[in-house]
Amino acid sequence: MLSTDPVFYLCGGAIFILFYSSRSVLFQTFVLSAGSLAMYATEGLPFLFLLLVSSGLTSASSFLIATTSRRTAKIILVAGIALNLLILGAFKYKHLLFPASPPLYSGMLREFLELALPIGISFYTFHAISLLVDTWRTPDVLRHRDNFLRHCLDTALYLSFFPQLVAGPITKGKMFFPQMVAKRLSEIPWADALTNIIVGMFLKRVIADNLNLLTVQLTDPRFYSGKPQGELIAMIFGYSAQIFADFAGYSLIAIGVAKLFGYRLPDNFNQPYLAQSITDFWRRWHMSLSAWLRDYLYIPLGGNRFGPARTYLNLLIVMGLGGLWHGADWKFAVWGLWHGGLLAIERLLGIGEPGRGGWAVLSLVRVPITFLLVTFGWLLFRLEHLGDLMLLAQEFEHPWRPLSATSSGRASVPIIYMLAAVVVLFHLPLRGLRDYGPVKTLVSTTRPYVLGFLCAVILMASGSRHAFIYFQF
Amino acid sequence: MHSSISSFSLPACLKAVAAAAATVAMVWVVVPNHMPSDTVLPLSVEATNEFVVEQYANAYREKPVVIVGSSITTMIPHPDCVPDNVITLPLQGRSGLTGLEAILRTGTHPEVVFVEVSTLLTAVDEVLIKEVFTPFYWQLRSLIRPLQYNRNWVVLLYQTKIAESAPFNHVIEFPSKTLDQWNLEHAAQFVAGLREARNDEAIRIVTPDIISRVRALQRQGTRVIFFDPIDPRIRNQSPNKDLRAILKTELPDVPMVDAPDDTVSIYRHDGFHLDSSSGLQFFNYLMNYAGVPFTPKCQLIPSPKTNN
Repeated sequence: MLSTDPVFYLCGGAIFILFYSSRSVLFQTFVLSAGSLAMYATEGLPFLFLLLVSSGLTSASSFLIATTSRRTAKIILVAGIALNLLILGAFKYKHLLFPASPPLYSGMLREFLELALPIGISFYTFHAISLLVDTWRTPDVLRHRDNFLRHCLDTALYLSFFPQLVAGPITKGKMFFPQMVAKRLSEIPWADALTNIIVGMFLKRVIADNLNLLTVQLTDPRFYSGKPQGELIAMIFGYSAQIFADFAGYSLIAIGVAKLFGYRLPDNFNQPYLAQSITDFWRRWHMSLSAWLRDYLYIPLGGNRFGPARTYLNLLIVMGLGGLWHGADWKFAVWGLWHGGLLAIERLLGIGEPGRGGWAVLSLVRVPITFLLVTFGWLLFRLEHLGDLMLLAQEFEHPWRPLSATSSGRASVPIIYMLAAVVVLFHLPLRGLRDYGPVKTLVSTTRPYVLGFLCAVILMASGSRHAFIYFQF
Repeated sequence: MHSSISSFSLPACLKAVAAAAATVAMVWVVVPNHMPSDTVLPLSVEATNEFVVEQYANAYREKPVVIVGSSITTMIPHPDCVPDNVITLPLQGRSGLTGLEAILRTGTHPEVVFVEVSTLLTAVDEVLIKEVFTPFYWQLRSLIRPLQYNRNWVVLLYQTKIAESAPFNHVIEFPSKTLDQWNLEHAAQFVAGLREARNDEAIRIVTPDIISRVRALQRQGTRVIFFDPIDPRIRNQSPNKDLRAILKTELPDVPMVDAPDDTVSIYRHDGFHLDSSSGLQFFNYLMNYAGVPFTPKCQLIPSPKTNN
């Protein structure tokens, strides 16, 4: 269920009313997890079954890790992680193992291959692994080490919490579990929560969905072949703006809805297109994934503790796997390796840290270069096949075609840049200003009007409703 | 964004609602009823179809004559040549069944509905119908123009710029080639369509859906007419031949109008999709067949070329 869908808010509203009808933690946890699972069930009962299996497996493993000897716990930790990854691998990467069309297989294999990708599986698997590792590191993370059923309920809520279930932000177990305490209606930060939801909805429905209408032609060479190169460039930059608006919008909605239930989810974006290097970019883009990869993959692999060569290899492994996590297609692995390779080069040259490797004025050059490198990487997301990259490149070998050559070029290019300009606004370095007295007063006075205006714009200027780009992951 | 408000504030909510209502009202006053060009944007298939159906449901559902079909219907006639009393619902990759469903959902009673036959094996696009006809909300959108997708300011900007940059002169010309030359050049595109294939199972499944929708329209006084613009050779082989036979048996009172290939030159790109001149010709032919009066929006310049 999309968080831009009115039904999402109807269901969420019903859960909200029930949730706050009692101050008992047990009741609230039960309502929230049952409601979240019921919402997930609308995507298909087999998907729900799989989530319950993962939840049961993770509950049992984490409970045992916290309550048995360290030696046994270690075995259970490894087994729990392996089983979760096995489920993810079987459902998500089955087409990489059996690339032919499902009808070419027979029996149960065919039926299995025809099953759709369970929504959110990548996210809840990462949540499960996080809980297992965090419990291994700090058994106190679990609230109910003496009551397995209550722990099962906690785990079910952690994995299925509906605002974040399908596309994060990835919340670590050690961050989520301590928040499972009694919630009160009076403690809801309404203004913050509603601001997050409305701004997120604006980014998604107005900016990303409308940009999608204008960049979608990049997915098929038949559509973009022969177009003016200026229009293609606008589409490529437009997609960079679109993917930010789409995912940052989703994350803000998730964070806002979670706040209504008294839960704090981690921030996911921090003006990523102001990054001065790829290293800096990954501290600003999908921050919850970066943190997960760092804590649960890069550091266990050895991080930078075993010399430069091993560090570069670790970076490539982590980013390659991180890329593949985004989708069961080799183009995502290439995208991950592209970023991993750039991270390794930056580390080799010592230019990864912002502000280093030159004067501050150099950031004026570093920011656009980083943006261009990131934008090039996004092409692998937008293009249908890896090979299409060459076809797109060939379009730029032709003599320059003026924008005026096609009516769609003249019509769509200014609109793409106009929508992308809103994403630029989100990157203005205004953070310090917000704490300045008069500005603070102005913001709090005008906030209701601005939010009302944004609501109207969302209602009036939404593009065709599209699934979030990260839903497929 | 950080907040200084930690609890619910009714005055703040009222201010927000007032601001939203004022914005919608202002836009309502400014937004025009129709743009110089209400043509469809070059979008993804799903978005284009959503746009077409929503535009019909919100703005054009009172039109007395409706033509429903797949992408084949797009040029019957050219979108800028559709007379004022006619609306076409060409749905990319879908069929007239989805168009019929859209008409029924709007609850309107058109006088005549033309249904493209050749793609009717494609079932109703339930996702599209669900998306456009969200209960309550679609009626609300019908009432409040700024909420409609085709009045979305991005769409309006796009249409304005298209109209400025490529004004349509309402003249449709025949191709400069003879039909034989044309067909020879397009022979490769015809190959797939000329491959015969039986699809009895699909016909068995879809026939009741067609019958029920046609009968529902007839019950409310609508004349339903099938039309078939595809190449006669494709028309006379399976599965089209089988589907047509069943429809003639099950719906004997519904006329079937084929493209007049025996009397005029019909240019097709691939055996299915008509060139704009042939589309306009066939459209005129359909209107005359049904006895529907209309004021032509486009002029057809006859070709000096003949097969002789």
